[in-house]
Amino acid sequence: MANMFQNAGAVSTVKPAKAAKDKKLQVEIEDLEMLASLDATIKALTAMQATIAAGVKETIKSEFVKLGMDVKKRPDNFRGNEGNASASCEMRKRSSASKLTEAEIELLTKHSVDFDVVDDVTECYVINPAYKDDQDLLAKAAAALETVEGLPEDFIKMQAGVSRTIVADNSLDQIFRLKDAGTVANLLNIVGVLAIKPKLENADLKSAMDLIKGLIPAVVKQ
Amino acid sequence: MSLTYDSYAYLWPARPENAIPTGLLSFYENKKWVAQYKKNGTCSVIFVTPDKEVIPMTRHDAKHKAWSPTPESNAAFKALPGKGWYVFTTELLHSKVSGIRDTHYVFDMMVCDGEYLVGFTLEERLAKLYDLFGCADAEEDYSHYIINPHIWVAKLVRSDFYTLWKDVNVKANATDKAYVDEGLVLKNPNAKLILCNKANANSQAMVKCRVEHKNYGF
Repeated sequence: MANMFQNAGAVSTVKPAKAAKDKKLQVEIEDLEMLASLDATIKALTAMQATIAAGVKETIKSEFVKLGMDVKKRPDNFRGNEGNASASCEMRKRSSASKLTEAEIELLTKHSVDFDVVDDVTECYVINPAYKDDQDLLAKAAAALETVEGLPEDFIKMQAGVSRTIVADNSLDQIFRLKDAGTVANLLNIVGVLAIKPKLENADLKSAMDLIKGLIPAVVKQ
Repeated sequence: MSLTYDSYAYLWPARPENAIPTGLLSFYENKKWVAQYKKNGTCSVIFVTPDKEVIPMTRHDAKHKAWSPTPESNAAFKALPGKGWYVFTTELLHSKVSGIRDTHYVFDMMVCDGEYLVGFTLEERLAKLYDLFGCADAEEDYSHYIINPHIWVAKLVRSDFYTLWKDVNVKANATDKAYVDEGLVLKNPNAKLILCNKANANSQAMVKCRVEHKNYGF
């Protein structure tokens, strides 16, 4: 008669299947539907906001191009208005932290628009750090500097300069002196940054929601 | 304004970041936006040198790890006219959908024979693209012109976005396999190309409307 070891069944190496979604424990959670609804609505409205903002910024850019070409320099900021809304429409010089790409530099050069090259690491000579704690050597070097004898060849090291090219202070003025509005608009994308700060004159959320609903009749119908 | 492109520099493809639910399709249709089918592939940027060397890159400024171009997939690019660079944005259809291999679905062009198309609207860029590949005389499928079995050029659709999306959605959900159309990409036909030196430089001029899927709401 076989003993319990001889009768032992094989251990399964197959991993148990994951529970199907509908077999998982189901828990009712208050406000989950509201949270999911808000999440979906915000995502949809974010897409619409980006679309409408792009159109509004295009209008603002056209206005800046017209105003700037009239005065042949960077125009003043202005306020935009429609119905219950207004906005500060602003044009700023591109940040000095944002370096120009080769294509942008080529474009500015082609249209004789200035840019600046600023040093991030200044080119200079430094004492090789390998010798900085060698007091004997430093003492010797100090003495040698007077006679230039005994100075190691690599005692002086050169630190390479690192620079970046950025928009110059007068770049914005210069683009508005160009004759072609399309070129001015394209260069404005490079040397300027447009900002808009829209606000409703009164925080009437119901009117705002009604206005938005009017844009999306299909959503209301569904 | 004409800008030349005469040496390799990576250009970031124009692709949508924001997704919309189907309820917003009419909003974009009313704004006279246009649509292209969104294919289920790998977004790619194809650089063609003046010597007609074809350099395929991913949308992450990297080389494809699991795919190399074939003579067939390169043929139409090598036959391009002129002595300047070309840069196209495509969906590489190779590894995801059964039966489709080494095929580019070309949906935009950033450089045409050395001319960097900054400032050109989508309509203007696509008109150049259609001329370049002779789409007027090409065989047509529902979503694209067939330049050859490995180069498809995306068509533009201008109306009935919701009906179109429903058709795509029915087909996608009728199969357990990977489907070739993932939805629609809606684009502003008047949006001008901005210098493609950032990942999202041109993304505000388009949105995507995807088929229903368990992994996302829309």
